[in-house]
Amino acid sequence: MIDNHPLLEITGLTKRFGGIVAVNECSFSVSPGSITALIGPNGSGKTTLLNMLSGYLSRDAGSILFDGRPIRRPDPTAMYRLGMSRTFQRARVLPDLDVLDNLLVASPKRGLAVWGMSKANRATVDFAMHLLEEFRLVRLAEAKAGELSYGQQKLLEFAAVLMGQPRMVLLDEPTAGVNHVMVDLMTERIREFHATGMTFLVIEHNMEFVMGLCDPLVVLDHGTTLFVGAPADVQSNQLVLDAYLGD
Amino acid sequence: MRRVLAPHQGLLAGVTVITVLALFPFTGAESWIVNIGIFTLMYAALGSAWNLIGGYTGYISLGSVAFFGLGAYALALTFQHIGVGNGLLPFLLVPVIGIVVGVISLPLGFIAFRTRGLPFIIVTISLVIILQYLALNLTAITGGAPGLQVPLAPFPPGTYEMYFYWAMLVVFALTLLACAYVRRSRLGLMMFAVREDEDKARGLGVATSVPKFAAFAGSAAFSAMAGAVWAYYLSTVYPQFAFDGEFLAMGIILVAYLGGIGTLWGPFVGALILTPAQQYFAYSLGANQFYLVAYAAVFVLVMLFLPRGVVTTIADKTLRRRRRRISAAEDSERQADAVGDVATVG
Repeated sequence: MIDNHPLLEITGLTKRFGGIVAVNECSFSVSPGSITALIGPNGSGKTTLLNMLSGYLSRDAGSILFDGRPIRRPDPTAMYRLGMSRTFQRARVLPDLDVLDNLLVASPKRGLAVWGMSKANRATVDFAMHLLEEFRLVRLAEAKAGELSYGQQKLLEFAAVLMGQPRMVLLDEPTAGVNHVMVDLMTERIREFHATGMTFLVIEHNMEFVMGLCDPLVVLDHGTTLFVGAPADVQSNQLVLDAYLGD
Repeated sequence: MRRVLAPHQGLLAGVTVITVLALFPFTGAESWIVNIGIFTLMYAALGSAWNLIGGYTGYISLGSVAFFGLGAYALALTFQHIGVGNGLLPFLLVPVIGIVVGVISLPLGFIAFRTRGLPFIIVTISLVIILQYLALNLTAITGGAPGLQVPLAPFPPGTYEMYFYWAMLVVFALTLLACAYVRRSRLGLMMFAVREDEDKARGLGVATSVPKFAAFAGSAAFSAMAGAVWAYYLSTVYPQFAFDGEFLAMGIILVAYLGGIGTLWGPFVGALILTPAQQYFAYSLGANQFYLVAYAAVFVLVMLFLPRGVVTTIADKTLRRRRRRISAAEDSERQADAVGDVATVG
């Protein structure tokens, strides 16, 4: 049986900050197993949308359905446990903890296991080391995360959210401020995890990266969905060009 | 957390230090020196307990004294109303008081954790002030300003201090053990994550209220145990001393900062420097207020030369030296490989 239900479905999502409507009746859906891009000019509401999806921000109206389940209350911990994790636009790591601990903390261990005598069991540590290897951070496993270069911190943040083996990862500008070697590494990893069935929603301004990797693209403007389509269609769409270049 | 000592080395160091401390009264130290020892261990225990919430979880609490005072009053009240015998028997009450105050702290924590950062500091110091007023005014229970009397323990004068010294040592050792456990465990990792970036931690699936309340209640429990031993030792409890919002509240945080917050041994090292200095100055300059100036000077000097605390500075230096040695070894290995490659090609 083929599952045709979208993994994420948002309808009429709205967020106001005082008089400013950051996200305005926004609706779109993300199919399971896709790498969907969320693009749009600065201030079009992309990050606000992501904050609502990942449970960091309450919404004023609209609904979010993740895996067919309505999300009622904003709660990042619950979202992570449901299988949706995110990275931040400016990389956020736990700076005074070492690189390995940055991963171990994200292992979805809970309940009574919290009170155990060790930080993680053997299998979790092995999985974390495997991820560090994939992201070429193994040599830095014992370094403080805060001592890593900015690009390495972005990779580390990405690796950490994979600890929970999420079904969907929201990446907020994964290539911003990262050199091209690391962008290639990041792209490779996204493709690799995508091949295992992981779904991605990527906010990105780097169009070369987006066009090469994502399908479909959701174009946001003034907090509303302007257009949804394949990369080629987006590139030739007059509305999108107007939004980006001004009409 | 990066550590200087491997776990078995840490255990050995801990057992050694506690053993040496336990044997200290047998050196024939005079009772006033053992008295300083009691206060040093009390600050070490209070500083380590504070470290759970302030150092590991990053919530700078000024409320430790509130729980210290509750522990002190709890002991005195038990004496008044229930009667727990005398001699060594009342010491058995100490862990019970710790648990009870730990539980009492949970609803208070619920209020305090509505805030973060600076407001949290203010909420926790208010707690101390409120309890001090309650202790002053609920005269039917607390005896008001004169406080409550605890019967003097029937220990022989020559060894009177020693029993309290050992009792305080046990409280300190238990606190240290709890800290050591926390630092190695998943719970501690969650506390550190809260300290580093609480919102990010939530996004990594960390149920942040678990480490926060565990740290708050644990900190309260150990502080209360220290307070209970202290009350029995002084055989009197009154509001200004039990809920001392200035001297004691600051002293606890000073020893932690001085030794290095967030480290295992920092509060102990801080207490070892600061408490004898404070007591010594109080004895020698006690008639005037100069002893407070001298006390402050010790703190200023350490902050000047070891601004991140004694243990933190030493640990960082050791780790850096070790890493430099490792990378030097790797470099020479790589050079050897390169030479080998050339030789093969040649």
